[in-house]
Amino acid sequence: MTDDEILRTLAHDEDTALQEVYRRYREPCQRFLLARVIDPRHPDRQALAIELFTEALIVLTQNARSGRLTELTARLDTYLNAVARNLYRKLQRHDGREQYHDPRTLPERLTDAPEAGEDGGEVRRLLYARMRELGPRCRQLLAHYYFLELDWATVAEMLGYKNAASAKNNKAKCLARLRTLYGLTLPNRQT
Amino acid sequence: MIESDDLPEDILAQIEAYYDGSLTAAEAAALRKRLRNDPQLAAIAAEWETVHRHGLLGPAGGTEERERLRRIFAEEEARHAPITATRRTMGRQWWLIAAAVALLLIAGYWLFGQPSPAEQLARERFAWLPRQEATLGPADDAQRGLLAYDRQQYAEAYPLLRDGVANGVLDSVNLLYAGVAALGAGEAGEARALLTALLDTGRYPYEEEDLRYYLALAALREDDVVGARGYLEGQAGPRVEALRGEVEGL
Repeated sequence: MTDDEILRTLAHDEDTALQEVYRRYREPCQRFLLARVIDPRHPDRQALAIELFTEALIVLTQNARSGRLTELTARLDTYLNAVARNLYRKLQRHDGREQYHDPRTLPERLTDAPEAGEDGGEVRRLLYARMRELGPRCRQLLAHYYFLELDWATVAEMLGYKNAASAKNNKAKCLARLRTLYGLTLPNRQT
Repeated sequence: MIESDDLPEDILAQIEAYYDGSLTAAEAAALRKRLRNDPQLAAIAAEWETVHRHGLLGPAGGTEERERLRRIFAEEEARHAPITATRRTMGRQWWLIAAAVALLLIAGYWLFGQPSPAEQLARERFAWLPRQEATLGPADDAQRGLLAYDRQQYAEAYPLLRDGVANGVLDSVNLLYAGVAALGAGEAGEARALLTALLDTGRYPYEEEDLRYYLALAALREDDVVGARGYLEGQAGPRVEALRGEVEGL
């Protein structure tokens, strides 16, 4: 099974196929996490390796099923390792609280506008349509950063940018183009 | 109201910074105040904020689906023995194996004298292949492997590159450099295995003839002239064609 076929399996297939994907990647990914990522002093390294690998596979599966992830620029195990490694780094930044168990915690709103209705599905559908209009380069950049939650150094290397700063700079340009597609270019005004 | 030196685009960029976590509390408070005092700006900002909260940063799937996936994967995990980190031990073993192979090669050289014409050709035609950037967050040993490769320190480079790909630190395209390094280190069998693995993936940074060129050299190093011909057959390009002519003359 090629990586593209596995991606389609994650997106569409039955639970038994998901188990097969889990079996295929559990050993290399968990071994990578134990050998390269998780602090040797961590009290329960094996459980954490399982947790991180499982969460990384869930991130990829949910992104594939929602249509956010339709193309790979590296091998699937490379994605799994990168997502799991970034989850671990986030965990470290949060002093060990296992925040990735919960849906992403957002900061308070800046504006007084009410939240979008129900689950925000319409907002997402419109966003994905706008992202398709951006073209592959910007679409991949935004998807790798926002949807796969990868750090800038990893995004830069996966997508062939010179360095993290260059990728970040391009993200700003892509978001500016996205704002234009939303018609959010504000009029310049004077006080 | 928006201040004269503060472009409206900057307000939306500040919203992005807020959701990236790079806006300070004081800056966020100032932004809130500004938005409260300007309804027109606030309306536009609210739309961009909603794109962030529900689109870019919103969940890819529902909580129920997430929990269902967790159960499926937990059941699968329970069927297997726990995985332990054995990389460092394996690394030492690889070094021991590599050292043993190197000793055997040296012994073989002294026992059997000068290289065959095919092997001699492979040695003469071998050249370092400049590396294209094709890595995913290399660190530690993998990074050392890439540096060693760039310095043409092949014996050090190839096991580090091979292991880097095996454990996912390096993208599989680096099998090409691992294979070239193995060949440069005189490990023709290892080079052939690595390059064949890459050929099978269908993903490599250079054209296929470059990959096949090094495969042919690896075959020649093993005195497999027929195998070398097979790798070069049908391939175009001046370097490949020149080598094919020389192999035909063997």
